[in-house]
Amino acid sequence: MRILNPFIAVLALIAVALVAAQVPGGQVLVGIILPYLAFALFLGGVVYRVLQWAKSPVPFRIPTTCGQANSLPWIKQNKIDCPSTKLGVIARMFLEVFLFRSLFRNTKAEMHDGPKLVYGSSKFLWLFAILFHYCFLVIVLRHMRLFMDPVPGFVSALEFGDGFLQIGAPVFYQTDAIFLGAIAFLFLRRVTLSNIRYISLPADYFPLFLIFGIAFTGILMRYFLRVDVVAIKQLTHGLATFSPAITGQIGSIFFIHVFLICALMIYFPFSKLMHMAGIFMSPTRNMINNSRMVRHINPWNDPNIKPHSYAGYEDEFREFMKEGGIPVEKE
Amino acid sequence: MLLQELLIENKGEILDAWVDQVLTTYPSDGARIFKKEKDQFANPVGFAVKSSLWEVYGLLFEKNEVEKIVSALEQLVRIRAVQIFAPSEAVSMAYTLKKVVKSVCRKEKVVDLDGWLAFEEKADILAYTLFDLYAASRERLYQTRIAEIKSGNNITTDGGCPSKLMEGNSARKAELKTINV
Amino acid sequence: MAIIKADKLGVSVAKGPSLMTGAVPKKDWWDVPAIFKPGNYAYPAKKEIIEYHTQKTFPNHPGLFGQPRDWDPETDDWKLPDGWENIILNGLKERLDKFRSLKIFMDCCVRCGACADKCHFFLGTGDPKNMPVLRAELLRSVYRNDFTLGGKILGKMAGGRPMTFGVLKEWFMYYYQCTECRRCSVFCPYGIDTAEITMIGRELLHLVGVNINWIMEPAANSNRTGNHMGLQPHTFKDNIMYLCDDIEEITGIRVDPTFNRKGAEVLFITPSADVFAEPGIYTAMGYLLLFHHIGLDYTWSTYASEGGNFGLFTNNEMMKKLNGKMYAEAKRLGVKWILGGECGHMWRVLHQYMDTMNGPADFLQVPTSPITGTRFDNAASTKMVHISEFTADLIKHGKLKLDPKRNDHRIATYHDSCNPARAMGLLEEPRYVLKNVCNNFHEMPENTIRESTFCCGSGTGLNTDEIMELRMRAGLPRANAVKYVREKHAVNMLSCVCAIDRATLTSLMNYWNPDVEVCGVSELVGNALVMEGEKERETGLRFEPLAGMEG
Repeated sequence: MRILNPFIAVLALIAVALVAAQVPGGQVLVGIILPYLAFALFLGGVVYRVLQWAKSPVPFRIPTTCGQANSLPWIKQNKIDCPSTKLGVIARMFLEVFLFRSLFRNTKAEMHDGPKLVYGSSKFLWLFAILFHYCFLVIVLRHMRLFMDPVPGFVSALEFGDGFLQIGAPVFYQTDAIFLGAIAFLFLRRVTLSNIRYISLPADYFPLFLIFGIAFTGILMRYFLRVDVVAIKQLTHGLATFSPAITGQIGSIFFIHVFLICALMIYFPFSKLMHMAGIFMSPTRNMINNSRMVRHINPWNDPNIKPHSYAGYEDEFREFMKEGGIPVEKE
Repeated sequence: MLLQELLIENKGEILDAWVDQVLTTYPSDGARIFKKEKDQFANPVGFAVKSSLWEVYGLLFEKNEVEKIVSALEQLVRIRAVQIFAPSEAVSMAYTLKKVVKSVCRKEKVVDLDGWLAFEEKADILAYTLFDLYAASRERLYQTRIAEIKSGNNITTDGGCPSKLMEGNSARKAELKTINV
Repeated sequence: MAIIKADKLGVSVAKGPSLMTGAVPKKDWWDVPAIFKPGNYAYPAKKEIIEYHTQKTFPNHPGLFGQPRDWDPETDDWKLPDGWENIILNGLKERLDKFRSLKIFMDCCVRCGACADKCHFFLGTGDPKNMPVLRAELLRSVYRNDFTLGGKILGKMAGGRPMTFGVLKEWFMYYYQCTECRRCSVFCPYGIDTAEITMIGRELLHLVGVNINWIMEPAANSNRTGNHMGLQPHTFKDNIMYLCDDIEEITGIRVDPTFNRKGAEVLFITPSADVFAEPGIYTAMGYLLLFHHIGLDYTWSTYASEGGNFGLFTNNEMMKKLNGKMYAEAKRLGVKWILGGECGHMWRVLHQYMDTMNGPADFLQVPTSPITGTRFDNAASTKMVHISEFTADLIKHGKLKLDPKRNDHRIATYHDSCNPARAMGLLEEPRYVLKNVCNNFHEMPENTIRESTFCCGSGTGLNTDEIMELRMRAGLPRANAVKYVREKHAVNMLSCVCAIDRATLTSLMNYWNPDVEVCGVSELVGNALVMEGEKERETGLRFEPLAGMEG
């Protein structure tokens, strides 16, 4: 059920899009109104969620230290995994955000004969996660050509690089294949590893199916079901310049593609996909490990919590203290 | 066929059934998938059981090095001794093996009384060894407990200090203690 | 303790889905109930302890610890207050507004499973709910149900669960099967820290009076007498004096510590277990010898006689309250700075919480070693220095006369305690000290030390004997790593810088690796120190014969 329900949900989305593309006015709805709405919800939602997070203070300085701290001058500090300066934190966050540093560290516990527990390194999750995210990024950037005129140089360069194998016409993009492969890996991993399957929720499968749907319809559109590229470019460019118009026969597949993207954008702020923004705000990663050097302020620190007073302590134990030769304040 | 041959030829089948039954996993369909689970880290404890039993089986019936089973079983029994098992459950694996081999014998129609007697003797040795090891592990556990109490760390809760501040409760405290222990 | 009832004898207890057998249950995790049996839970706090806390510790904070009462986790009547569900939900809301970490950790998890096999409780028990991700999901499911749009609309489909008694039982079971060691947080791509989740989970449980005695009673002791052990001032002093007697017998040197002395330069605070319990006392003897050796002008305090802080395992209010004594006493005595002994969670509090909670310590000075002149700028604000930092600096400057041969009967390895490793970054200092005071030192396998260190399995107030079996399971990964170096290098001494470790690793080794002993790093320092005017040493601080002195 955990897998089936989200799968059905994505199929239902596709069906809705298919119907919408056929009924009068549906194309305008899916091609023009929905993208604006979805984009607004996406932006607004993400900003709202980030502000909601930011509203809560960070009461304590709790970085997870993953290396030697700044201590005596002759002890070599791990300035990135245990940063004591802002620069160190920036480096740490850079590695985390762009290279998935923590996942790279992943190990795999195995029982060997003996039995003996061995912790080997395991980089597959890291590899496919990074392929997935970077392909996604490249694909999104490549799509910028649809919204900009003239096409910026970096987009053209990206396209050229992505298609450098020069296979087929239109030129085949490697990212498309890698992207599908990475999604498939992430999905298969969830299904085949018993403990990962055990922890997975519908909310984990749904975005996978949805993104797979988006990629798949996109690939169909590009390589197999030819669509009117000029008309599409006109529409998308129109969207970007706030003068959208649908001309010619674009083809239903395009509307399915757009509809799924809109669904993803709307779903995004309400889901675990917010990890994209959350990683920047994670207190165990983005804080400087300098809590003994600089006092961190907790806005709700309660000044009324005071230790059991020394006076109260001495009152209770004064006789014992005197007998034991321990100095007291009041004789 | 002689039983000894059966034990070697059907090693895989016997061991799979044995491990399965020792793990006493889930009888229904869903479990079948997990029993096939080769991923060792998905269940380290389960894997420990598996690898230990394979080793013991080899020592008993292939290499005929009965004296070595102690070290092969030690860690497994030590793990089982701190799981929540009845003592019988913790050492029952010798009898489970007999059961498994019996059913394979029946299936393969092996009749070999001498072979069976030899096998049974080994299975019995396995049972004694398991019992010894289990008892030793539990004893070690209790010794560990006693050592911990002797070390003085226990007075954090048995010093009875703050409760002295509250009045008229020493009787109840004693009462509570008996419930707790 | 697994006491078997007669009718159960001979019957397989693992008939039902037993999580211990290592198979993954076929039911969804939210359909597997938590069942309390003797041996798998720690005893609830005694009624009078909670009465003490509500009346004496926090008279002005009603409701922090729920209603004092006697209750039994094995029954289905926990005598919870009316409307306890709302108490929990309101408490959760309050904490979401107070802790950004909680909000982020609730929202960001993608259940990638990288944390799953990082938890020693999971590795040792095989119980899926001990995967950090599921431990967090226990709370997250409730959060989703009541605090997120998706959960409010879709409920179960969005992974939401209403707060029920069954959920509460899971919380009590699994938030007390987490030692807040932060190992999962190292591997999480978003830095999600289960320690935070567990801390919040425990705070919420306290609101409805669900707690364990092994934490609440030491906390009460610490509030009243100044230490977890409940040692009263004269007893505290007497115990240290006994240690001085032993030192005199072993070395021929009389060390003469002072107590509550005003005007001393340094206040020294260490966990009280070092003063009273084995093998911590040998570590304390190491401190006493070291301070005498360098002629440090320092004092002990009977009022602030506890370095540890079980408040960390309770709630942030208790943590602040217990910790407050350190600065209060430093101020009263007029010392210049504070030196802290070897302890794990103590140093998490000192490093990451103390200054924020009870600072600024503007009445103290930036710690400067009176022997070497080194200024500890890394403690410029908190004004508290770790004994390993202090000792490493002394050794580096050649201020200690050391004879490492006296530790030749020890083949040592080093266990990084979770908190100094992952909440402080204290990795090299103790190693530097160790390498200078003993000749035989071997590291455990990579991935089981430093930031990847495995917990002893009994931290966060779980070091009580009624859950000994559980502790042995949880400590299995650590024990396995020790076993490895024992077999490979004949290691016979597991050193560490944590008082809870010293107590619990001793038990863990007793069970899994009987010929390995446990010590604090300072004990080995004490063994190696060549004191001025000492007699020839025949034994170490445990009265064990030195190498070449046997018989």
